[in-house]
Amino acid sequence: MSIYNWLDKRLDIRPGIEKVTKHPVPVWVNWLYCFGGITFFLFVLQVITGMFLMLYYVPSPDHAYDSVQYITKTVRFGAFIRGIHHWSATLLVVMVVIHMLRVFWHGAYKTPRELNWITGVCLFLMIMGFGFTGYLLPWDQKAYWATTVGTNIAGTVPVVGPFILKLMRGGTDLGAITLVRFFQIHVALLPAITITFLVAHFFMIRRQGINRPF
Amino acid sequence: MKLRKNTRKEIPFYPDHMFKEGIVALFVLAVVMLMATFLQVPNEPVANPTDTSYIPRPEWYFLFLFQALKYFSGPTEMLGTFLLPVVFILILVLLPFYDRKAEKKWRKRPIAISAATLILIGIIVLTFQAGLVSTITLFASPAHGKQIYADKGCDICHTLTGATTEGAPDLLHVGSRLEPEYIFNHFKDPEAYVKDSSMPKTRDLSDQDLKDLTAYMMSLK
Repeated sequence: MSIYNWLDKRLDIRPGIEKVTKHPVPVWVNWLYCFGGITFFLFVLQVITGMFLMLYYVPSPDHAYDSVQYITKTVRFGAFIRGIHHWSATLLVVMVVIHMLRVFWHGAYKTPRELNWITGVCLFLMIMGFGFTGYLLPWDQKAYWATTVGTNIAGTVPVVGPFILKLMRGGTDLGAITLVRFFQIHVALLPAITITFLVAHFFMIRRQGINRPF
Repeated sequence: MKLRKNTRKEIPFYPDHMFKEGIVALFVLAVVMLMATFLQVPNEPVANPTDTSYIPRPEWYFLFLFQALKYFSGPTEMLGTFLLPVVFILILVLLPFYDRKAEKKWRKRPIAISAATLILIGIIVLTFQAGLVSTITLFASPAHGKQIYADKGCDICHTLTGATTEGAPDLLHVGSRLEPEYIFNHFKDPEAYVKDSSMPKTRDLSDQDLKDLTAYMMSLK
């Protein structure tokens, strides 16, 4: 506790910390309410394992596949870290959907929590974006052709479709620029947006309290 | 102590609630670590941009969307690829603004709960259907396929009348008889699928041509 006191004397952190830790939680909050927390926990796991994977992964068509093979076959605990990243991504999608269904079931999206519902839907779309961009990174057959189809689908949007297609691929064909683009979106753009939305999501829960479903 | 606890209306976030969350988090961590240890991350060959015959499948959580696309082809394709996802997202985003009743108990919200259940069942059904469905004909042109059918003289042997034939089968309802994967692969090497088949291999047609021809076959229901 001496570090805590040392910091508190200088920065007066006690009121802020106590406001967070002493925050009352209603007793009727049961295990159904844990899916949002699980989703967040899995997101943190994704960030940590993603950082480790980035130490070896090379986002270029010449090296991406080999670097993933290297991570999986040679790097110590590489297969384990990649496995956690892969499977917690799958669980993340399941958990975020269950969380959304729980919120719907309890009518928690209703006034005054509309904004928190909307940030939640945005976070859900971010997760989908992570899934879509992450799918290309191993640069295997499935990655390449699924992204070809996926970007083709985006290309069918009326009026702006061809532009979106070109923007996503960084040209007419899927290649080196596409891979770097997807990599950047996966590891920089989406995490930045997601963390911003998460902060807003949590802030609003604290501000408005947990929804009483009865 | 126990009595006191039961009469409390609230517990502090830390340590009481945090403790529960921590247990759940550790359990989830254990599950993920077990999966990472015992399940194989799918391993595929390196990307080959020239191999246009590869049939990709999206990640499982996109399958329902993928399957939904199957019901829109040709001029209506845009309905599935653009309108359907946009409507789906709008239904979600705008939910608090069109469902404005203050009632929160699920028993007293029959319309909202049954609508959501229907959508959920739809998504689950589509996901399972997608397990049996191909992407070959997704960006193929049945019209071009029909032209190939005529240009290549397929009609010299095959008929489209529904007649019972010997040798080359009648193709009037071929789309409801066969799967697109089968038709597509069969074009490449008929003998591999039908013993002693007299149908020639389609060497001079590109994979896209074969996809178009498959799309034409699939339109013959």
